[in-house]
Amino acid sequence: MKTSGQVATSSRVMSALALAAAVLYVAAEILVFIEPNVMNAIGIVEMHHTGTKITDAIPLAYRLEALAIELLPTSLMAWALLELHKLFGTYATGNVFSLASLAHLRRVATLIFWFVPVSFVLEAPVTYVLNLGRGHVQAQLTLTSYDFSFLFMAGVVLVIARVMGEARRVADENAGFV
Amino acid sequence: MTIPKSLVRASTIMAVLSYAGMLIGPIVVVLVFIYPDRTHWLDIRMSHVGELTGAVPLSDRMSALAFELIPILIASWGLFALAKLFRLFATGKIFASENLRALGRVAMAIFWYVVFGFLAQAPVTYFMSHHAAPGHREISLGFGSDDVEMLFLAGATFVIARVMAEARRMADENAAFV
Repeated sequence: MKTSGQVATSSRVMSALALAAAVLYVAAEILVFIEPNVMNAIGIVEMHHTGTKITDAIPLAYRLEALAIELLPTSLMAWALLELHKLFGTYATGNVFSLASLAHLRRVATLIFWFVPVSFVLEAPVTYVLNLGRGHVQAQLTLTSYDFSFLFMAGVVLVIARVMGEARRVADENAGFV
Repeated sequence: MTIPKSLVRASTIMAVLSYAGMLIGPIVVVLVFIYPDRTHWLDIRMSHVGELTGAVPLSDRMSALAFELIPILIASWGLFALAKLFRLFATGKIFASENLRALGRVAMAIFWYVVFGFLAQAPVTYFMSHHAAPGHREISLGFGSDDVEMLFLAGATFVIARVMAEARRMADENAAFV
């Protein structure tokens, strides 16, 4: 299918934005742990599942240890953004119902879904290490509306991916019939 | 178009969840503003609102609520459109014009939610600090990574809606040609 110029352009823009978001997301997360006071002063990165605000008062070794754990859910989200980047790339070339685009969309849903339980479970070791750096032993687990909205988003993308998969199946059947 | 029962079930579940979110969101926000201390255990963190306690007079909380409800109701409108989209999926309508209209509304709702959420901060923070002594009153506007995420989501939804519209146009053209 050949998409119109406008759709191809907007898909290319979204593809570039998704790639930029993946890079910026990982960079921002790393900077929050390495240069927390600078990032707190800028104040645009809102962290979830890392407990009390991270500051320079926590020794760097503890912050790096927590970062190593935090990078797991971060990489899941970055991966989802990279899949989105590829998805819009395929849209830009007119491959709306190709197997590749459906696989990208399904992966976006799966990765968003796994981001929630992984970041929830890893909050315990992340906050434990950060609190050790603050001089006390404490781990926390929180579940907020933010997590539910991500689960909901995963559900939305999954159903849309399945609907598009069905549309492709019907289109293939019709083509076979003709 | 006939779609599998599992997809009908998934679409129906997502429609019910969307309706639930559409109603629960505004109800929770109203309750948190009216009974901030009694709803403290819910640990609802509304971005841009800050700490909400019974120390803020009810009249000021009601004035702030009036502004806070604008973006919340826009979000509810988006969830209503999303519920409609899933109901259409459940009945086998995938590329009908109603689907595309609903998906377009979802994208618009996310976009305007961020814009009005940002603008509403000024009156909300004004009323929340109105009772404080002179010199301690404030009007603040903040824009963070959560807002950027939502804008990105709006863009992604908008492009997917346009791609689906394009797919529908092509299908119509093919049908007319046959």
